[in-house]
Amino acid sequence: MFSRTLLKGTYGIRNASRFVSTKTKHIVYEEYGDPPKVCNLKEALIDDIVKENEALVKFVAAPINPADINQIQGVYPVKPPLPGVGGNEGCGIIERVGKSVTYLKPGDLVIPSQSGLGTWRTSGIVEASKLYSIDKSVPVHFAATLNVNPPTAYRMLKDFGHLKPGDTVIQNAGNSAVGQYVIQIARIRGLKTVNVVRNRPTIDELKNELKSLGANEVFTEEEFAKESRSLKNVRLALNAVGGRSSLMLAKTLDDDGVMVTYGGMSKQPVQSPTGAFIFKDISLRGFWMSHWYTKKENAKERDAMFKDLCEWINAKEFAPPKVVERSLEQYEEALKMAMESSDAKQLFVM
Amino acid sequence: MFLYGKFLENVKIGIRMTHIWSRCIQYEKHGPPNEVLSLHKSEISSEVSSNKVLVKWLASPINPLDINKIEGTYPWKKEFPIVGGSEGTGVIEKVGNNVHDLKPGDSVVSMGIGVPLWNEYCVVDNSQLMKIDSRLDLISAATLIINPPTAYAMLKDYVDLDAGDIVIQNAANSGVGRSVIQLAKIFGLKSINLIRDRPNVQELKNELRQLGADFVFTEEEFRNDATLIINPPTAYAMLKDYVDLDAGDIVIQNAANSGVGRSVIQLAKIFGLKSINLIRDRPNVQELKNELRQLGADFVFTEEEFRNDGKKFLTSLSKPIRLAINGVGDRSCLAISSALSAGGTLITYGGMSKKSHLISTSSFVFKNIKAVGIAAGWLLPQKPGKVQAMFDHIQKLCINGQLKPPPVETYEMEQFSKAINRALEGKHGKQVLLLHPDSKLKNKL
Repeated sequence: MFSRTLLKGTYGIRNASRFVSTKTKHIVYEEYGDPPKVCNLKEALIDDIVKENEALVKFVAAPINPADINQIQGVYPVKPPLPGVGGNEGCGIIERVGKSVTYLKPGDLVIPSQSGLGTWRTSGIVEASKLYSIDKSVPVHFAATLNVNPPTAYRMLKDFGHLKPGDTVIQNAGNSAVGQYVIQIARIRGLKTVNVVRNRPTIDELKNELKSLGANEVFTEEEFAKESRSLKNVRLALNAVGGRSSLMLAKTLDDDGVMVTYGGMSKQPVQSPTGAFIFKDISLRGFWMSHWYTKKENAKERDAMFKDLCEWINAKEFAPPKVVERSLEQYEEALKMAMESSDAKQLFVM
Repeated sequence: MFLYGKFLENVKIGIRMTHIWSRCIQYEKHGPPNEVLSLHKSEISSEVSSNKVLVKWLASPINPLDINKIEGTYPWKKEFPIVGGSEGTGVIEKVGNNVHDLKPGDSVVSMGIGVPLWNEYCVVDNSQLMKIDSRLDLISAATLIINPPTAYAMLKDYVDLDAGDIVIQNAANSGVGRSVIQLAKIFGLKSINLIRDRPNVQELKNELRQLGADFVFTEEEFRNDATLIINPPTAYAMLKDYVDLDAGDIVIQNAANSGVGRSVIQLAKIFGLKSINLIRDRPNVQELKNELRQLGADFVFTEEEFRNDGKKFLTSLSKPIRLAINGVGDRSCLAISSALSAGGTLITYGGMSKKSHLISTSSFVFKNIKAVGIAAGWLLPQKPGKVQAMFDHIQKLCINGQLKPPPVETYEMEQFSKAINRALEGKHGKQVLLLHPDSKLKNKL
């Protein structure tokens, strides 16, 4: 909904009905540093002049992901120009499109097609090519967290290891957002998962929760050190931790196995044993969802992937994402919580 | 008289149709082979149902893995008492009514290392036997299954070798080693062979050269003469088979003064590539750096120098680094893998540090590098058609005299202790047990 107010003096009364402005709130940072400190909530007026290839989007919801924190800290490879608006994924509704935009129309539900969009705001005018439209019936909590984690899980299970139904996938960070999607997508595709998590007081609850999502086995890092010897036919290992955890995963790989690294929560380097390289011919690879999106040759695959994901969401195959809803005004608290715990995702709802 | 004796013999056999006596060499617990092995005689059932076959075993060698199995250090389990032996040759006596591919009188070898071979007779499943050409001599047949195929598979299935390519090996006078020498010659390859020093080593060197070895060094000689070697297949394969490198491209490696490392330096020069080489610090390190530069190294750093000045140096390079070669692991691996440009490949061929290999997460996630190893040759191929073709080829070579079995000492069953002791001492060639007395008829040596 626009608020029809005159622009201050620039364009004249004759054009007043065409040129209106939208009030937007956004969380910006003007320098890199500690997010709760360097971020600020600002209001602004944006011109509603939508160029040919642009679209006016009303953002509906956007989460705080670890990559967003890293970006504000200045340690992430994707660095939009400063001052920057925080947030790399989320969902919104198209309000207006420019003349040459054919694949989007007002009312469409969209998510970013690449990172760096700046989603922690109420409205924005962006190049239409930076937006991707998805099935309108996808609920907001899913739509807002659809761009990064489910596709990472989907792609790693599809593009590595030549997996067939019945194959076993092993992963650490089993209770992370990606980890839980790996469990669920594996279940849907007939793959088995062995999941390693850090020990905690509520470990039994966590094991039950992950098993109810479809996990075949859940071990703590300590239990896994013992159990790993009996694992067979492990073709794919997914690593988001590094350090000793990655070493243990690599050791379980069978001949020709692959370990894909997509994160480094321990901040330690990835470790691999000599024997696995030389006697089992394993390979170690990396995966970065943002990079995959930038490749034009992946366009068809992207459509197929989102079709699958949206169908599974609508068929209630996925457990609803665990989120804590926040208003933009609560940004300081939300950022602090995001940096401290990862049990539920902080989600700005605009 | 003669006929009556024969008749009696037949009657004797007739009464004992379902059981025969068989001697075997077995052990009832793990331990030193010269202590736990014993010679037994027992009656065994000679009944052969459906897929079963009664085999008369003629000869079986004592391989190092047999020693390990008896000691309990080989990854293989069975219930005691266990009859020794892992490969060998025999003759079919009787077949079950569902056996169509074998008949009495056929010469066979056992497939798989679990058949109870140090036995005069035993009943096995026909799937555990392979029929062989009857012209194959006894010793070649007895030593057919383990060593020649290992050598064959290593030379054929891992690197696409062209005529004139060079293979290097140690333990060159072992069963496998000698097969490698001979097969390399047959396949048109050159071989560099390492052996342990011993009194009269010149005799052994001559013997291996007569088998077809191109170069023979003792381990000590080779360590000193390493700079003369140009083409070990490991270095060659790493530079050729993993990344499409163009002239002027840059390769980075650690362990630069190792055998493989020096080959990488020299081959890189020959292929028009530039090399960045890391070595461990030492007194007089300048001497070693000069030596490596003379071999063709473009840049030589100690691990410490590279840690301190590496970043600055890398930004001065005009080409990306697409290949890193790692023989060390640990933080050295981290250093060279971090130098890779986006999409680069790290190949690991060794782990001199004895620690795990460290690679940063951001190298994988943001630079999309690949980390692989260069596979070693102890996984045999699993394709049956291919395996049969290989055995046919190997048998032909043996019959033609192009592939000779290793030098052997033969022992009758009762002398098994002496055979075992010779095997444990080592450096006496291979010991072969002659099992059923009929082996003498087959042994043309």
